[in-house]
Amino acid sequence: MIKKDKKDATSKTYRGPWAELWHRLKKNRLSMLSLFILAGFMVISIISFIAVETSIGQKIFEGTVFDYQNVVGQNLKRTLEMPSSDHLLGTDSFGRDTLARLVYGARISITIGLSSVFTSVLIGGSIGALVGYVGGRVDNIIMRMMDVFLAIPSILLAIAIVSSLGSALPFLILAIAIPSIPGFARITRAAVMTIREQEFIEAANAIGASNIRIVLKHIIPNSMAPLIIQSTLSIAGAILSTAGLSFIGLGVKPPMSEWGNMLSEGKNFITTDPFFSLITGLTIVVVILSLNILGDGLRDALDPKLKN
Amino acid sequence: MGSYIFKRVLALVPILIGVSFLVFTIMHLSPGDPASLVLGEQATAEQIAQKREEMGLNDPFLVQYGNYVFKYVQGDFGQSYVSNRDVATEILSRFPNTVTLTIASMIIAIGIAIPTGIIAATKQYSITDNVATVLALLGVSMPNFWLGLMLIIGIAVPVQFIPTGGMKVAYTLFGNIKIPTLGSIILPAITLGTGAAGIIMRMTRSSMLEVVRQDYIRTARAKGVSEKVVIRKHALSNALIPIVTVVGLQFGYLLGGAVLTESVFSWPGVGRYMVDSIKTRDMPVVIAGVIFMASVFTIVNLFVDILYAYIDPRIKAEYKKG
Repeated sequence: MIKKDKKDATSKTYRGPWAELWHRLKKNRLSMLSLFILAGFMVISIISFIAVETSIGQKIFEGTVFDYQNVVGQNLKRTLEMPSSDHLLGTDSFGRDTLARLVYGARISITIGLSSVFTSVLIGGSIGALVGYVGGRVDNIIMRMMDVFLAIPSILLAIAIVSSLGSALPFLILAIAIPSIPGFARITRAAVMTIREQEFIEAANAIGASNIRIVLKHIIPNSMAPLIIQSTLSIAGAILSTAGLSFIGLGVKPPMSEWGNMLSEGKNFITTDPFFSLITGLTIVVVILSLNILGDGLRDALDPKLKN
Repeated sequence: MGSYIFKRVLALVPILIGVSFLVFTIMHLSPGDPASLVLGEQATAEQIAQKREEMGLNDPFLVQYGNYVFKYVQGDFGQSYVSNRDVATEILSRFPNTVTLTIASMIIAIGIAIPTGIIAATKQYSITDNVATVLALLGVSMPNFWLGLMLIIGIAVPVQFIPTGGMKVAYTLFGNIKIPTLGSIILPAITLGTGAAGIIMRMTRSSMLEVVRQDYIRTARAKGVSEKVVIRKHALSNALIPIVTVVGLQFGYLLGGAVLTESVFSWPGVGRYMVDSIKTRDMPVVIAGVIFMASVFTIVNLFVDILYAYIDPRIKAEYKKG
C-alpha cells in the first residue's frame, strides 16, 4: 500500500507494469521510430507470406514485389541493373528484382530470428526458472553444463551444428537457438533467485499456494523484464548469425533469398555492381540497429534505477 | 593468489572435457558415413566395412570419444579426409595468423573505443557524446562481413597498396609466425574490430558514468584535484574493471568471429580453413577446429579472470582471507 501511495504522490495515475513500461517507452522517440521500422518489416514479411504461400494471395499480389516469380524469376538480359522504374532497387546477376528478394529475405530472416529466440527463451527460461527455484545440487550441475555451452563462441557452435546436421530450416533455427540458451538460463535464474526471497512469495507460500502456482503466477511474470531486453537483443544476434552462416554457405541456400546469401552472391560481382551489396547490407543494418535501439530503450524503460 | 590461480586452472579441466564431448557428440549426429566419405564413391561395401573397422567407427560412442580425447591431448587431431594431412599441423600452422589478426583488431578496437568512451562520458549528452554513441551502436549493428565487403570496394579497390584479400608477409619470426604488411592486415583488422570497438566503447562510457557519480570523485574534486587527474587516476582506474572483462570476453569472441572476416579477406587463418573444410565435409578438421578454438577461448577467459583478480583488490582480498 505504501508503495502505491508514494507512486500516487508523484504521478497522478497508477498504471500496471506493462502500461507503465509502454508509457516510458513512448517518451523515447528513437525507440518508437525503431519500433515503427520493425513493425514495417513485420508487415512486409506477413504480406510476403500471404503472397507466396496462399492461392488468394498469389492472385492479389501477382506482378508486385511480393510475387514469388519476381523473387526467383531470372531474366538474363537484364542483369546487374541500377535502380529504374521497373526495378526500384535494380537487379542481381541473374536479372532478379533486388527489392523482391530483399522483401522475401526479410520474411526468412525474421522467421528464423523470432523462432530461434522463442526456442532459446523457452528452453533457457525454463531451465533458469527451474534451477533458480529449486537451487541446490540440480542448480549446480545444470549451470556447470551451461558453462560448457558458454565456453564455445556462439558462431562456432552454430557452425558445428549446421555442418553436422545440415542447414534445413529447423536445424538452422536450432543451431542459432542453442548457443543463446545458457544466456537466457542465467538471466532467468538470477531473476528468479532474487524474487524467490521476496516477501510476497513468502506470503503466497503462507496462504498455501502450490509451487507450480507460485512459479507460474508470481515468479515468471515478475522476472520477465530482463528476459524481454535480452530477447530483443538476441533477435538482432540471431538475424546476424543467420546472415553470417548463409554468407559462408552454411545457412539458407540459394535460390531461396536471404540477406546473408544475397551478400554472398553480391561478393562475386562487387566490383561491377557495388550498389547491390550496399543496399542489401544497409537493409540488415537498419533492422539490427532498430532492434538494438529498441533493446536499449526497453532496458532504460524497465530499469528500476531510472524510475521517476 | 597462488591458490586462486590453481583453483581456476583446475576448474578449466571439466569445462574442456565438456566442450570436447559436446562438439564430438554434435559431429557424431552427422548422417554421413565417414568411411565411405574417405574412400569415395567407387568403394565396395566390403572396403567400407573394413575401413569402418580401421577407423574405429564400430566401437561404442564413448569408446570413440575416449580414443579421440586421448589422441587429442597428445596433439594428434587425426588426418584430413580430403588431403590426408595431419590436422594438428595444419591448424597450428594457421593459428598464428588468426591470433595476429585478432590482436591487430583488438588494438584498433581498444585504441578507438576507450578514449572515445572516456570523452563521451566526461561530456555526457554533448554532440561528441551523441555522435560517439550512435557510431558505437552502428558498429555493433553491422554484420562484419558486410563491412569487409564495403571496405574492399571503398578502399582496397581504389588504393594501390591495399590488397583486396590474402596476407602479404613482411617478416617471419621463429619460423612460422608471420608478420603481415600493414596494407594487408589493416582492412581485415578494422572489419573484425569494429563490433568489438562498439561494445567496448559503450562499456567504457557507462562504466565511467557510474564511477564519476561516486562520492570519492566528489571528494577528490572538492580537495582541488585537477579534472585531468580526477579522470585519469580516480575515475579510470576504478572504471577499468568492467572494461577489462569486456575486452577479455571480446578477445575470445574475436577469435571465433574471425571465421567470417577470414572468409571475406581470404585470410589464411584457422577460421577460413574450417569453412573450406565444412564445404568438403572434412569432419576431422571441423571437429578439431571447433574444439581447438573453444579451448583457446576458454583459456583466454581464464587469463582475463586472473587478470581481473589482479586489478580488483576485492577479489585478491577475498582469497587472502581464506
